[in-house]
Amino acid sequence: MKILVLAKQVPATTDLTFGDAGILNRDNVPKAVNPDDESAIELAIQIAESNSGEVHLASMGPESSSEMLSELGAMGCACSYHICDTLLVGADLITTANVFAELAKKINVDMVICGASAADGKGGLLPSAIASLLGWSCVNQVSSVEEISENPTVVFNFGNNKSKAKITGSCVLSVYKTVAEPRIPDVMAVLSAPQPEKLTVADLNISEKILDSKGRSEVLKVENVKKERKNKIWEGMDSFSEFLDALKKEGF
Amino acid sequence: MKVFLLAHGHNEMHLFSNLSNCISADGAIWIGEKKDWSLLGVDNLIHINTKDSLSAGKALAKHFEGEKVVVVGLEDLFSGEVLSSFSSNSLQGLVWGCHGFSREGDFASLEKYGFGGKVLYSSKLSSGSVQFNSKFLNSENSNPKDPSVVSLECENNHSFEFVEFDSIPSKDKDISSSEVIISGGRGIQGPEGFESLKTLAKKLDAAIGASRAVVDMGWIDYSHQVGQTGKSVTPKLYIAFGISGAVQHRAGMQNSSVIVAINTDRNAPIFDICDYGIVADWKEVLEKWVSS
Repeated sequence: MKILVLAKQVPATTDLTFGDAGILNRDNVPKAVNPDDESAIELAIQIAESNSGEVHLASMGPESSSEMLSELGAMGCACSYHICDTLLVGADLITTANVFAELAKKINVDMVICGASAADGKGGLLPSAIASLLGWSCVNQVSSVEEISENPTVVFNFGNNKSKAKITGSCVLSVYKTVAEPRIPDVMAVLSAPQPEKLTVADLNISEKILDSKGRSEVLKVENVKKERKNKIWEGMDSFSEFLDALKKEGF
Repeated sequence: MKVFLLAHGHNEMHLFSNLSNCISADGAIWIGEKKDWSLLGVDNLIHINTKDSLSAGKALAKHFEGEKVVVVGLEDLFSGEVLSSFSSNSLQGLVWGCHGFSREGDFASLEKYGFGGKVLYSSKLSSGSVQFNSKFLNSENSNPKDPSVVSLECENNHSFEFVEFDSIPSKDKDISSSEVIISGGRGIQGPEGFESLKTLAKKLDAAIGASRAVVDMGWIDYSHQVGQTGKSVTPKLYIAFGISGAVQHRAGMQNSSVIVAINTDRNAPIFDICDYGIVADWKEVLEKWVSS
């Protein structure tokens, strides 16, 4: 069984600036691995270990993603892919979904696992888009896995409560970091970690129409928000009733 | 451009009725079993009887091929799955987290916050899908109408089998959809602090949030974490007990309508961004508030 795991570098700061068309300036910004992604890799490795399978890791992003892939690959991935191309700078969700769906087809995987949402985008819609393009199902927001095997049983958010399902075929899973505690690779694993293979748009079946995100939705304006706050502060419990009255006046 | 409301059986009907009015929908799409659709307040309805969100999205992409249509759904998971499938199969735009929607001739003008409320995006979409944050719905319900119905065929393509469906209760109220959030940080001194916060949460019908520091220390589950590496929340009222207000935390809650801070340290940065604050012991405030 072959599993593809997607990882993303996200800004590790809130001091963000934006360029043309509202695209985040990602250069020279401290970065970290998206919190859910390491757990996604750990789950994939555990599933792969249960059936002599292998885990392939991929990330789309600037040069710095390569280093992240080398570090994460040491957890036990068979190989990793760094998709990097100037044509993909500022790629929207539709382009990104097509890139990963094409990669999944190219390397012929049986399952895709990724984080439930990225700390910088928080949409959580990419996994479903990838699954739909592949003609697969998607189980989103998996919080725990009860049976680690080729056909795992997963607990996930669905409806007002949680649901449980057994995976019976090719599927995309999006997971929270609670699914598995990521392992820390030892020195030998770090030394023998796979070096990321570089891929560009030309290596994947991506048409110009897919790359043209401007034809889909267009950002007209990006403004920094500075919300005015009342900033009324009382000192000591003697003023508690004034504090509570102020909240009551707000309607709470 | 036509605007269609996306509705299904997992949310309350009044929310859709409200959304339908807010976006002046030309029609609605209903996914799931037949229901009384008059409350949606539309003249035309497309019915897809399936539980499979991704196949429903594909059926919509096929049905609307070559047309300029904006489909608007709410921010629940099922709607998100339908919309992302629709947009990816029709190669059209997908904008999530919107709080502003207006029709401007042949396109929809949208507003959304990004990066935890740090920036406001204004964008336009002439065809594709939009997820609307229900907390920003402040329209009246639409007037009931009996729509004419077109049914679309759709495969059921699930590669998973439900063992239990919507039946495992979530232990706690979800912070992403709650109108009031009470959060605890290091200042509440231990995991038992959250048990105390729950008494006030019950009184205010609030969800429990937490700072990253206390989640990392194992005081409470990650699903409660608010901030850059947790969830971004926009409740009407955010109450921070014993939270200093590090930038990473603020990134997840600074867009709340009203922020209240309780802390013994007058210099805690949370006081810089709050509307109302009290410099006092969190436990005393809590006890007095619960008994008020």
